[in-house]
Amino acid sequence: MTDSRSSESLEARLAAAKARANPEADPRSVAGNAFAQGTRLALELVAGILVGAALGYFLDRWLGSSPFGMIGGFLLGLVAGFMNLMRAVNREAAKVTDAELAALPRVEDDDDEERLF
Amino acid sequence: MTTTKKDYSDVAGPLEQFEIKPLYPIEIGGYDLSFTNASAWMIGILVAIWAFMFFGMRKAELVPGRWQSAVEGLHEFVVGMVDENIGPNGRAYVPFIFSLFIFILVANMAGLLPYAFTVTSHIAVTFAFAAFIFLMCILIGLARHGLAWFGFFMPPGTPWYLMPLIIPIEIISFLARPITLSVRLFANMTAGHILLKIFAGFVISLGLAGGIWAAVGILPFAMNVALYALELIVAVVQAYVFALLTTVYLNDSINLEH
Amino acid sequence: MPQFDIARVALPQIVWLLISFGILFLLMRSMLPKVVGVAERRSGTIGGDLDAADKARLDAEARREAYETSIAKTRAEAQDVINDAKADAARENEAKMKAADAAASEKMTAAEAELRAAKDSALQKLEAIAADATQDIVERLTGNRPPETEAATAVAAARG
Repeated sequence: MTDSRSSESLEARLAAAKARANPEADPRSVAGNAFAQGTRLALELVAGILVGAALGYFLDRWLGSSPFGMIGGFLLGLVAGFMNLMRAVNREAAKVTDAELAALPRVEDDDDEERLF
Repeated sequence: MTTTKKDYSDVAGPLEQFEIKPLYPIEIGGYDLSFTNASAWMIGILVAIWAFMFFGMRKAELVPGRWQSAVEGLHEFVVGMVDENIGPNGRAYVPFIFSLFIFILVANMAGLLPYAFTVTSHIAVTFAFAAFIFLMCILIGLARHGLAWFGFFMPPGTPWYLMPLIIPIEIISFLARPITLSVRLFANMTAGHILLKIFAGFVISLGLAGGIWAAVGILPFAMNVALYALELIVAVVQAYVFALLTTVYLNDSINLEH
Repeated sequence: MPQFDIARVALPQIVWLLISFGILFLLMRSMLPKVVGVAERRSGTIGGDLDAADKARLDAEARREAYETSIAKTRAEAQDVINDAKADAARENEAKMKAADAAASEKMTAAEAELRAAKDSALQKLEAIAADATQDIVERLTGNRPPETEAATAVAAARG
């Protein structure tokens, strides 16, 4: 008689081989991505402020408007830094869908591997 | 105990590892273009990468060996990153991103070898990369979209009365990119290497102090081992972040979406 | 920090970085197409192999189904033949039974008729004997022998 079991397992093996040949998003890469992004956030804010203040400083030197250029530049830089920070966070949030979150393996918190730059 | 007292001034300070030492002085038009230890390491990295690629892909078999798998895996990784962040228009930039990623990766890793000089621990190098990418983004944006690219500084849907505020903010946030990009890599590499050096210095000092202190020296030694493992991770992650952000920035210029 | 001694440190590094990275980029640009080519060739081969395997599987499945349907068909045919044979046998049996029934009942009626005839002749003979006996009895009583017909009538009257 027919051996339907072996044909079924062949089917499963074929499907598995196909999945290996065309892999979907690997949850590990998603996790690595998020970890890497985490290290950049604090620096975004500082860099925004620095650039803003520097622009204000040069504006002051050019127009002789000290100290208003520097103050304005500092504030604008603060906002710009926050905006960059938000964008970086949003980009990650948009990328990690619920399905991917569900697929993430549970890992220990490894915050100690992060550095605040 | 006075007999064991020695002059430790020959033990290198934690910052000496970053010193640039000319190996072969070159001066062109009054500019110092000397071949330094940094240059030597850069050339060494170049040769190492070439060897890795050449011997990995020499046979280019359908069923790859370990080495070929490593080369292909690295390439696939970069292609995946470009596809995810830029999309189909990004394939042309894969060689650049790949070179960038592998150069920084190998530079970071090579810096962890004993007696090594870390190319990426110099802000001049990281900022040169960042500035180059920054200019590249502007030029690609202008080349692909013309003056419409400046619309990048005006997020769609902004009310006109907020324009005087939003545009400077957008410009500042754009100008901040090369700074965050370069400072992150430089600071990570520098901080890690200083820490390693300081703890190594403790080990040597305690060991030389002798007696009970030599036993205490095991603590900074263990710390150094842990730090070293951490630095390996940091070396990979920072190379990845640098390449990733480059693709993200390039995407803004190529696809012009806010 | 030596890194911040920009004036002394930056220029030679940037120049040598440009040189080494420039060479690296050109090298990679010439080497990567080979990597892409191998990867494409492999994915083509793997995809082709997988498709072939899948096709073979479907083929095998189709053959199995065909085999199963043919088996089922044969079995149905065999069942038909068996049913036909059974029906034939039953019909023949019935016919034989009927014939046997008819023969038996015929024999029975013949036997019954014979029996009745025997009974009738026996009765007739009995009447003749009775008449004879009556003549004898009357002759002995009266000395006068009555005629045979008279005695027969009397017997018939007595029996009725």
